[in-house]
Amino acid sequence: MLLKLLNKIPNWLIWSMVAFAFIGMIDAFYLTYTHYTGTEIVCTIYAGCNEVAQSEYSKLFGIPLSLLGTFYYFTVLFLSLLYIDTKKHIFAVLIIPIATFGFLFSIYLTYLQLWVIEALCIYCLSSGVTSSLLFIFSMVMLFLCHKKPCQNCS
Amino acid sequence: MNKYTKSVIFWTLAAIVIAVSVFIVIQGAEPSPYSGGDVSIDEITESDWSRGNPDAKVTFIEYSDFQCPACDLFAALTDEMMKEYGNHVNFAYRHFPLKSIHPNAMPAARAVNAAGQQGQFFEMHNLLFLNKYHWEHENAEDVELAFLEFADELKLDSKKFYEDYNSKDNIQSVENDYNNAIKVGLTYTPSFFLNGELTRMPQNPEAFNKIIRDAIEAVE
Repeated sequence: MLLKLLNKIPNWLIWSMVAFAFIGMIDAFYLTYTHYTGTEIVCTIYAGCNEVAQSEYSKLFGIPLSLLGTFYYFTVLFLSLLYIDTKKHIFAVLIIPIATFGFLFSIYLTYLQLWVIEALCIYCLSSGVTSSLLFIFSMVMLFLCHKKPCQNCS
Repeated sequence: MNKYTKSVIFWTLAAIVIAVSVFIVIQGAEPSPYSGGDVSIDEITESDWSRGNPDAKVTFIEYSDFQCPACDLFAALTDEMMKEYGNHVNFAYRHFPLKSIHPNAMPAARAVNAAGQQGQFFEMHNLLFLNKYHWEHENAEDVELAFLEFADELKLDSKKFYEDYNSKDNIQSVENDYNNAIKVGLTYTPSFFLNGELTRMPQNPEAFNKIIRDAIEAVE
């Protein structure tokens, strides 16, 4: 149903997704790298990075959240690139639930930083911003489909 | 150019961009000079603000900032730890006010030093951390008034406190601590040195105390 409704996704939208998924992936990769190598996180803007990244909330079932985040952003990036290459709407549609889940999860993580750990980490906050933007873009994508039903879907 | 060739070029470019970025991140994240454990910091001397047992074999030095969000939590952890192991640990507090992001951290450090001149360094230290919301976002004038109120609460000689707060020596002393921290290569607060070695301290009180207990057991 949704596949048929989808219009051609504007180039700026899909390339914005590529850009922010890429930024998010690099950010999460940096945190993953510091986690596994025991490197101090360079934290000059706000001082709580190491506190947040070492807290008990930084893992889920023993897997560092930063690693899960890297996979999450990589998936969104990969799907966006697949869409650009093939123009098959299924790849764009798949991004919508993934970005929604990522957004809800990052709200929870920001809550943890503010009220539970009471320390802020600039890299984690940046990830909150990129996942929010990805969510907004995916909602724009949905909005565009509903506004003007597809005439000549590929 | 057919579609297949286009796809190959597209994915090759994408892979190159990702690989180069990952490489740059890894290069940038290489251990900074102070994380190798070979940093030498000055030992605790009489000019330091210290508590605990001056003859203890275990030394614990904290570089901290009164406006940093995690520092008050670690101040409480350190306080609890010192109540339990104070006889076995020589603890020193050094200032590392991150001036660029915490405009009141430097005045706070001076206020604590001024209280120290009347023997109440750690009492003022605790008061400032506990009542951070009272002063951390105030302007320069109001922040001084807040510190004077704390001085009253500790029954300090207000006149002397104010003189010491503004004295050149005091300002210089905080600057020296700051420069010392920068020279060592510290970039965040609080930074802890256990027996001269940069040590990550956990936020969990039991884990925090265990690190200290292990250090005590290792030397006694």
